[in-house]
Amino acid sequence: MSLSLAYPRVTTVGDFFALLKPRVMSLVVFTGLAGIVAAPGHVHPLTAFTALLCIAVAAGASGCLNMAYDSDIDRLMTRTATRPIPMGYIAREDALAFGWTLSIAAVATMGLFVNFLAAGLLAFTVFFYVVVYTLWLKRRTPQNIVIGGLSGALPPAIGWASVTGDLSLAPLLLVAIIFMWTPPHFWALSLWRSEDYARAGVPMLPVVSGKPHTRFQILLYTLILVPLGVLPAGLHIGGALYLAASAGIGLWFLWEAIATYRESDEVKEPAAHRLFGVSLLYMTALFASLIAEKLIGIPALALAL
Amino acid sequence: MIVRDDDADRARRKRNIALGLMLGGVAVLFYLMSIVKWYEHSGH
Repeated sequence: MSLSLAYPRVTTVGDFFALLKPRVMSLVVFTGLAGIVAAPGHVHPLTAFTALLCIAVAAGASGCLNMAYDSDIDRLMTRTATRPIPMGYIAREDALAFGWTLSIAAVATMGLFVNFLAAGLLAFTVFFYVVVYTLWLKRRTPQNIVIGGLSGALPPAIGWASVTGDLSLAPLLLVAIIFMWTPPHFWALSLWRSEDYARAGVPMLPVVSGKPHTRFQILLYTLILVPLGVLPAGLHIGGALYLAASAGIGLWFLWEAIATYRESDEVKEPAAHRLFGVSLLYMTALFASLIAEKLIGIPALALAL
Repeated sequence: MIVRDDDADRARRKRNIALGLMLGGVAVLFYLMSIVKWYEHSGH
């Protein structure tokens, strides 16, 4: 026996998992873990695990809500057309219920078992990503990812706050690094996806101001990012390994940003592709070295003090 | 598009198992965390 359904196939567990944007979630968990590990002091390992789980679930929930509210434009873009909602595997209303339930559960659990500052920061992060970025800025201004990038930058501060119960210059510096990293990272992607964004009516920088201006902005942000990325090694946060990683890959990042600035192949955008890859490597290397130094016991440097 | 009953049943069963495991995991986590909090607040 068979029956016709409105959906093209049955909804699987994997569809719900895909709603959580697992690749984005993994980067958020990684930077949140760095915040937990780098923070001074000690919490019970189960408390640290709970904090990390809450960060992961809230990040996934934010991704899910983003997919639900953006499902109308997701079906217009090649990169996003195969997501579960545009494909008809999950109804938009179900995704909204799933996302909001997970968000509230993650924030409540963080407040109950970790501390209220971490819970407050987590709630702010979800609010900023869903309401400020997705519902307000994304379709209105080419500065969407610049301002909206704050939500993706906060996880190290949440991780730090979950250990110490307060904030200081160190976690805010880590937030500033991710905040400055986000524009060159996403604008590199948008250089070869600009037609996609134009079709969906999303005012990304290359669509509104053109590719040459976007390349200039990428270079500008990278010029600020690279010295900023080295700064933790001078402020008693990172050690020799961090200094080597941030300076070495930072210079590579800058090299590719210059190559992107001078790019002439506007169809294939090879330099932008390389820049996107190096930006991911840069972020991974910075936070992996922070975690590794703490675990191995490499002492932090204080060159500037 | 056609979806067969047994496929739908199997998918529903898997979704229910995943939901059960998730809720069970949360229950265990809450139980263990309540012990940790009790331990910390009792001055250890």
